[in-house]
Amino acid sequence: MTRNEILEIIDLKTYFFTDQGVVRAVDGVNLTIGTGESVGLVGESGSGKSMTAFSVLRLVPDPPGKIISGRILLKGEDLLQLTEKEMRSIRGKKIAMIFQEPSTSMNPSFTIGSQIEEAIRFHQGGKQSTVRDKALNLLQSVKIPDPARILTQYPHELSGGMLQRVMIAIGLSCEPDLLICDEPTTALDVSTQAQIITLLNELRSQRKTSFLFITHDLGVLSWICTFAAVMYAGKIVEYADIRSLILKPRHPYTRALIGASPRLDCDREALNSIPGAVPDLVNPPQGCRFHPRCSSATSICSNEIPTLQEEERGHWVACFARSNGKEAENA
Amino acid sequence: MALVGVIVLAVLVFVGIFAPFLAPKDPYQMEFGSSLAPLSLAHPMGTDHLGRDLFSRVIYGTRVSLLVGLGSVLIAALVGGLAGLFAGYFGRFVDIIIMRVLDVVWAFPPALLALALVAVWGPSLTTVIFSIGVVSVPQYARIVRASVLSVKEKEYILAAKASGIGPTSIIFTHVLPNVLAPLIVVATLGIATSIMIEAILSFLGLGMQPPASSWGLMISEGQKYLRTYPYYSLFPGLMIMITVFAFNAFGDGLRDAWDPKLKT
Repeated sequence: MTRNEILEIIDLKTYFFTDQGVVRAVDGVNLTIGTGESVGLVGESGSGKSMTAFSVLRLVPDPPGKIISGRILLKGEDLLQLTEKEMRSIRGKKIAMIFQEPSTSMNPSFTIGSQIEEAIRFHQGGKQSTVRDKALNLLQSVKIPDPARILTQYPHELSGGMLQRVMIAIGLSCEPDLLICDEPTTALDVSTQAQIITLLNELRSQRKTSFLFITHDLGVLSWICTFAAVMYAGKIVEYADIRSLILKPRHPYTRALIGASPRLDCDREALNSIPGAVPDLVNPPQGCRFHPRCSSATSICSNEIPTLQEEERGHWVACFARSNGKEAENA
Repeated sequence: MALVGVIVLAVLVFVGIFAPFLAPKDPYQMEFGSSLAPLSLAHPMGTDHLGRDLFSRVIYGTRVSLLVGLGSVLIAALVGGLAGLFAGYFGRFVDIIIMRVLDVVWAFPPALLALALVAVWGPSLTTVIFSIGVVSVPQYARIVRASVLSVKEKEYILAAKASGIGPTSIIFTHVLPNVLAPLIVVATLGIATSIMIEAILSFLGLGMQPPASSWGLMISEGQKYLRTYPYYSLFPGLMIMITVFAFNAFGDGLRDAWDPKLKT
């Protein structure tokens, strides 16, 4: 993986110390995002994908959470070594984040305009008139009709799709190197989802911003991402470019995920669900964390932990049964 | 309704400021021949047991009541509000220290503690305002802290953190505006309580010192004549009621104006 890296996550471990025990929410994650790339992070609820994102911004709720070890390099600079004050100048300026629920991500007490302007003024400063012009331009760039009027409105007066556009505008206000999107389309209806994704794609190609895109929707993932990592129980189990991941999934979990998503282009009676539930991260299963739910598990799976191996060029899988996977693919 | 409150308050403030010009008689002038006189044009609210014109004394009393009410609530809301903001937002040991200290204050009946404080500092308008302010601090701190606890978990606070804004500006620009509404409602009710505590202190001789006039003092003095001459307590009582109502209506209006969800 030699490319122009914006973000490099190396062996990140974020644990939660609860009364029940230590929850290994993120357990040894490695991930690299190159300039202008959009890397997806897929997984079930509780697989650690959001916590990976919060670790990058160092916003893991503490207590009980703590980043135990690892390195997070933004253009070579280790974010975990920065002071809280230095970190604040990274947040919003170099790395911005947009959230799942746009209607609660805006302060209800202020107008859209004042919130966008706050973001601009905070990191860039400038005169009131230039800041306002900038806010107007931002709203135009996210294709909001009648931006001058929207600036004077309150968050509750806008629809979810509009608010998400505003959030994207705020996220892009300081032209960050990396935009983390935490399920930005989950709370929106399907046609609005498509608009937002198209918008994000356009912005990415125009601005060369890199995306870390968190979702559990494989459809959304294939629309927007160039690479994708599949997370299960705090670990990345498969990493590949999006085409190869969707068309030739190697890991049994990825295959099960794809089997569990609805498709319009083929006749299928029922969706396959994955038996069992996400494991208890206080006492994760021995060996491969997926083996109790895996149909191709063998005895080695319950004893040893598989590591990510480059199965094919750029296609990494952490599974002992991957040779079985190949056969299944051919069959 | 809020408009009525504003108008009444404006009138009260006007009366308080221009009391010397509005009062028809000197509130300290005693006329022993006409003590406890029936209502008349000369004495629209009657006279007290020393023959002083009650109408003039009620007008002068507006000053004291408004000063005590506003002053003590201002002190309490400011100190209590800040304490609640920091305790709620930072949590942990900051929270523990601030709230336990305030619990000590909270443990005393407010009127009793105010009484003790005035007794220590010596009775005067300033000490009355300060001691009533001090005893009301925990109430505001608790209300603000409780709202902060719910507001700080909101996603827009996380979004603000994610855009690099520091804790101080998050507290004042993102948390504070969203906890103001309950604070204002409590503050308007608090003004009423403050006026009542002032009355209690005055009744016990540790509030306003005679011959100064305050509504509370007048109600207390009038108690002795309640059966034979109810006007003595009636009019100051009515004034307290009107003032409290006006502050409540005004507070409701402010809350509605600040809550964008109620704007159409």
